[in-house]
Amino acid sequence: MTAILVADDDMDIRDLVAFKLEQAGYDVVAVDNGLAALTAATQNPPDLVVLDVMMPGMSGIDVCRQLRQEQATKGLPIILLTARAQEGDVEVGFGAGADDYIVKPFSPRELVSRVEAVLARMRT
Amino acid sequence: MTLAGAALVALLVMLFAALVLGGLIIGGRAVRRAREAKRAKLAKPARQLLLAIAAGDDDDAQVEQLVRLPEEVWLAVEPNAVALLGKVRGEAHALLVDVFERRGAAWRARSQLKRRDPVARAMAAEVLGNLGRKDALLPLCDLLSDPDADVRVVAARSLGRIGDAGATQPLLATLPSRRPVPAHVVATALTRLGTEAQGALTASLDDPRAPVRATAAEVLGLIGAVGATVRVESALRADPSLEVRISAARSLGRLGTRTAMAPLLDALDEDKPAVLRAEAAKALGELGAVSAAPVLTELLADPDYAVAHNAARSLLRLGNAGRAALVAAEHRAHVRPRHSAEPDEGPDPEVLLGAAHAREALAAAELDDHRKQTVP
Amino acid sequence: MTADWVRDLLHVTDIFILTYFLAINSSYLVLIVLAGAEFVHHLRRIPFAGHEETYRSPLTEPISVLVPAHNESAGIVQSVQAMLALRYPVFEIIVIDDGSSDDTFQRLEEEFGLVEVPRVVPDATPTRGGIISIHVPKDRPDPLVVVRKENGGKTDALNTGINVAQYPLVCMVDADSILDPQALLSVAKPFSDDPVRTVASGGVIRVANGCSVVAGRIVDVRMPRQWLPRVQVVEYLRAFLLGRTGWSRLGGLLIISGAFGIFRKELLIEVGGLAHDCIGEDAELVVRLHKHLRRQKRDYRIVFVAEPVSWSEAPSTLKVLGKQRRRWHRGIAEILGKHRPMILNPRYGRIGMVAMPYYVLFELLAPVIELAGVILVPLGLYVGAVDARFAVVFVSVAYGYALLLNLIALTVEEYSFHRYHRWTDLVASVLASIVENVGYRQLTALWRTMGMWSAIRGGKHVWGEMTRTGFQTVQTQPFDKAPEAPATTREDARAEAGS
Repeated sequence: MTAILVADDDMDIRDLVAFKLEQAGYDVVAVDNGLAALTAATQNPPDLVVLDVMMPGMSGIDVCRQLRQEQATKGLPIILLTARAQEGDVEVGFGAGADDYIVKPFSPRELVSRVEAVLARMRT
Repeated sequence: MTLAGAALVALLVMLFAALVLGGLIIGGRAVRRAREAKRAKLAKPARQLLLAIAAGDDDDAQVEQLVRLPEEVWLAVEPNAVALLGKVRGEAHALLVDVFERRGAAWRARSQLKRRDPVARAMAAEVLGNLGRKDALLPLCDLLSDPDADVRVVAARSLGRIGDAGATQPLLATLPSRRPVPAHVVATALTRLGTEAQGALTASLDDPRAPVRATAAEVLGLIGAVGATVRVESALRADPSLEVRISAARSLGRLGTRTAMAPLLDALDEDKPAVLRAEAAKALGELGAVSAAPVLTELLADPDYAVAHNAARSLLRLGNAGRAALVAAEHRAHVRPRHSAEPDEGPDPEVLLGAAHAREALAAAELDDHRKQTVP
Repeated sequence: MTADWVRDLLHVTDIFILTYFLAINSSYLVLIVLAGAEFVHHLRRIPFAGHEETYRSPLTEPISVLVPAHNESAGIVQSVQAMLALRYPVFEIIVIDDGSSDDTFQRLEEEFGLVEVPRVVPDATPTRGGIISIHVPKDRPDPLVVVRKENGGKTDALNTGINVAQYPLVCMVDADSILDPQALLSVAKPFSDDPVRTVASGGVIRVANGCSVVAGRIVDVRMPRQWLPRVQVVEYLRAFLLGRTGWSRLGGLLIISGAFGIFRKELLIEVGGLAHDCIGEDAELVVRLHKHLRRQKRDYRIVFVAEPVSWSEAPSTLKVLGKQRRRWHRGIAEILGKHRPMILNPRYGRIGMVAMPYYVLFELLAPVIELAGVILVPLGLYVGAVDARFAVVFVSVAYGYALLLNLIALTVEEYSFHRYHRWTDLVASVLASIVENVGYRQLTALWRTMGMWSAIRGGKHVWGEMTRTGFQTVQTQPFDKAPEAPATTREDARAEAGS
């Protein structure tokens, strides 16, 4: 089963994303901070990571950058969740090596299709 | 009664008060804990249901179940439901709204709008905005002149969320009133009213009240109302209020139409206020018109920090011509003036200042380029 | 007869001292009640505070966060990382390395991959120590600026920061503060609510000792294990949280802690930045802002935000605490001395007529009278000027009242923010309330009197020294017991100012 790591400090969003992805047939591990996300991703690399940009301590961008530097997680698909649609943020996200981003408020259905699209792109 | 007797009484009163306070602390904490535990217990099964709806599962049975939840259970999950409402879009949002509607939330909120407690009014306004009720437009517009400042702000925000262009005039009208709503709140709400609001916004550039004109100009830029460019240009040229001219300059940068060059260049005149000049210098960069390069280069040595700084950053945005101008300005610092009487005399301070601004901008650009390259 | 004369005098002074005790405590009671009302107002309005909207709006005013650092090597990297993860739409972190002699800069350089950049810095506010170099991260677009400058003290570092700042609001933060992710959104809210009138807003400082810190964030709040910081928790609660909230409600807030305050930059430049050669530069700034704005007859607001957003390590030894209190009180004395003409001057409205006289009477003179009480009441008893029964009852009323105030403060906290959730914390804080009145108060009175004395004498400044251990990344490691970490003794940034 395809495993997805979800990191968001907002409980509502974390639970919602996890719920939606589990429903779509993925195996979901959810954590509430950047450090935990990094640890989880490096110790037991999932097939994809959904990262909230704004998290206490380590931000999603930081985690993204770290993951890109590690050999084991270099090619790991990453989707960022950001509350800001401002250009800068998106640029920074892609700059840090993200594959896609989703702006909050988000459509859960769209989230699933983005996840599928990114995973499909990885397979080819 | 003697003084000592009074003190003794006071001591007893205090002892009693201390006991009461102790009871209040312990009791309050115990009650709060119990309430939280109960809420969590009640909310647990309902939460799964809520997540399913928020995930956009168009399952009528589930919606029905949520709608039929006993009041007590619903109240336990309601804060989560409200929070989710602001966090999801699309079909998931529509479903959630449906649940709220069918539970009578909109009806209840409307009945609270005239309550004496400002918190109740604000909460009601918030709910109506969350649900995007178009029929709440009029009562919310009424709340824009509420005596309580927070209620006014919530009403303005909610009108933005509802997104009906009919709110344009009432929102703008709050700005110069005795009970104002902060301009940035009004502007943010106005940006969400869609293209239909453009007409009213453009017309408001002729409003006799300066705060209205300023915010109208600001919002026209934010929503990219290119059709209004000419009107905003004349505001920059001729408006008697500095505040309006500054907004207009900023807006013209956002709109990015080349015709704005002329009024922006005029706004750079030395007799104009520095704040306006700084804004115009910035806007010229956003237009990206290469022909602005000579003027911007001159501004590099401007005694006003913001003007010179913005001019340098704007030059960067003019492509190669702008960069070349910056490189040249930077270079001038190292050249000894040819006609100088004193052979050892360095360049004059103006040249050095311009060069310093140019150097800063070029270094920033180099860093940007470097960061883009390091990205795989 | 001399004996009679002495006895009469002692009798009068003892009565005066005890009355003073009652008056000062009653004033605290008024402030606490006002603060309670403010909390009710604030807490009821949280559901529609609109932080999310502020966070998303392109029109939210950007903030430059100024972090003066002098030998902060132990915790600087973690502080900056946590600050970069603050929730706010647009902000920059400006670390001003004020001539550190340790590796503060090197640690930052290594962690963030800093590179030197040329930059034009306007001299908007006066500075003394020149800027050596300015650095930004090379590879990441993090909004971080590190300024290296010659040592010039905290004031100088902050003024330099104001000059470097790009944004209209500046937030002054201590390098060792642990900030809540919402800190900027919360404390900048007054600026968003009333952008025209708000000129400054202060955040509350709470005691970090004992709390668990993970990745630069407070994750679990608990009472410190040691008694000294414990007493300070109660003291901070009553004096800073409730006292300042009360003053803010009255429109007479005179102190915004330098550890967390947001100011409108334009206005800071207008008044010439922070004052050099001043110990309580943060409080002095606020008094000067009041003075400036009152003189110009402007309508303005200086407010205090009670939401707990900033946590600092409180001194855990008597030596350090003593230095801190001497410095604080000297600061108050010097500020009140410097702005003497404002006191009881109707031109300055409630600042001149209420707040400043109050500070003279109940803040500046309090320790002197407290000390006098400690000496004169027993003396009065000894010479028989005061009836023993009367003295005992009256002294217990005075201290009982103070204790009661602590309990009220604890009750208000329990019903408002209730951050200390363990029952043991509750017991500890009640005990600390008692301990504060026996020993702690008398000691601080002594230190404060000493601080006041040195202000009058005007000699060499007595500066605080703080021993810090840096923040712990280890999960659930209590803050106050981290002796494993290499302890770095450092003079804090204030230490070098003006010397």
